[in-house]
Amino acid sequence: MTIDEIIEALARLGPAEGPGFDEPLVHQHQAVLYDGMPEFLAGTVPHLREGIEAGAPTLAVAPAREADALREALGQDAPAVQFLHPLDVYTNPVRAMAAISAVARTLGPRPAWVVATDDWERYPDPIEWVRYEALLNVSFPNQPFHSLCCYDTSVVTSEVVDHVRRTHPEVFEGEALRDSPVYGDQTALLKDLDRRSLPASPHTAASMRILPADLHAVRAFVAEQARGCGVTGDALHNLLVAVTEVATNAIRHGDAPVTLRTWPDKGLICEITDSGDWQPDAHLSWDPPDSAADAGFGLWGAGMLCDTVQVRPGAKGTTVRLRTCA
Amino acid sequence: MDATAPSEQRILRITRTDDPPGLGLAGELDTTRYGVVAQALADLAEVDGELHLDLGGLTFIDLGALRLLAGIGHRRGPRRGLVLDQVAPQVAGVIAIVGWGRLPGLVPGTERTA
Repeated sequence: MTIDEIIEALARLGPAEGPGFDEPLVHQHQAVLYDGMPEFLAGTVPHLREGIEAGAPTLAVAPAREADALREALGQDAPAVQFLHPLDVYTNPVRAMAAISAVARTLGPRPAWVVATDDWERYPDPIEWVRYEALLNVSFPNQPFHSLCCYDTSVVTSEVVDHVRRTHPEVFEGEALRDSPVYGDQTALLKDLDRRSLPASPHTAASMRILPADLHAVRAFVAEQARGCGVTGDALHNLLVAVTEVATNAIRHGDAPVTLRTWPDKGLICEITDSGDWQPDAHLSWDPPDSAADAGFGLWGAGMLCDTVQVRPGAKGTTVRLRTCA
Repeated sequence: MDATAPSEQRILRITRTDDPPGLGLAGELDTTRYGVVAQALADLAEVDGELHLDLGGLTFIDLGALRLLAGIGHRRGPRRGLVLDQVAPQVAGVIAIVGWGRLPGLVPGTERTA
């Protein structure tokens, strides 16, 4: 099923009242750190069965290999689980947050059981997914999701593993569920992540000065640089919209000079730097705005339109880095 | 977007349309042209019912322009919003990604004929 079909199906559920709906509204956010299919199944199968037994919506977001293993382990109960492919949900953290927000809005106070895993190798910026995990804690503390986020430790870096422990109060490790002693204040963790310096840009990066009167020149420059990076068609068009948005913000809120630098890296990276001291605090949350009139719509939209957006405000200027993958 | 388009094709061109009443927008619309678009729409403030924007020739629109148009359409009131006709596929793609639901004054209109 697609996420839109799931949301349609959830919208057809009866009223969220009666037995089972009197539990406290708390988000149960657990992780599985697994190496090999037995450890993966040891954490996930009982979790899915719990959802099925509760008669609640039960979702599994998993690539084919993990999905097949889950179906086999669940046997005749497998049809009670709605399976989604990660490419439909986890294309980037901002889009994932929009999808989860739509699911939460449709569910209301109704509990749901979710198992989520992915082919972690395909992400160029896995730390952004850990950031997303912290945002889930901040944005949905009272949504009765029973979420189980699964990370293959043979693929992800030790830094990601460390941050999985920091963003989940309880973690399955080696088939046993344990309290995570390093789980702490999630807002502070987000601030830490937002202060991390970005990898240095290469000396070979192409650069141009952005002038307020000619944003077409910015788009022409990015389109030219995108040649040979494999960024074409709709993805290029969407990146141009995102770059225009960030450049417009820098002109409006920052001080001149505003500079654009681009370089190829798993697609194309575009970095816009201004010289002002402004605090784009809207970026601290990627919560989808209700309307274009809301503050933060533009930066949120930029996040929807490319693969990674990283914002680094500072007293000497703000840097926003956008990546569109090839 | 064709980044190598000659300047006369990329600069925003605005034409008045009578049937249906509204504007035709062609070229590229970004923050450098918000003022002229807002003025052109303000000139049509007295027109009752929906206004139609023929975007058949519009190759680029930024998020701020969508926000501007949605705000104008919303303030015009119920059944007096802005109908977007002939939207180019890449522009339609951007609108779909941010969601029509977040653009309350804008209404999808006639689809582009191939």
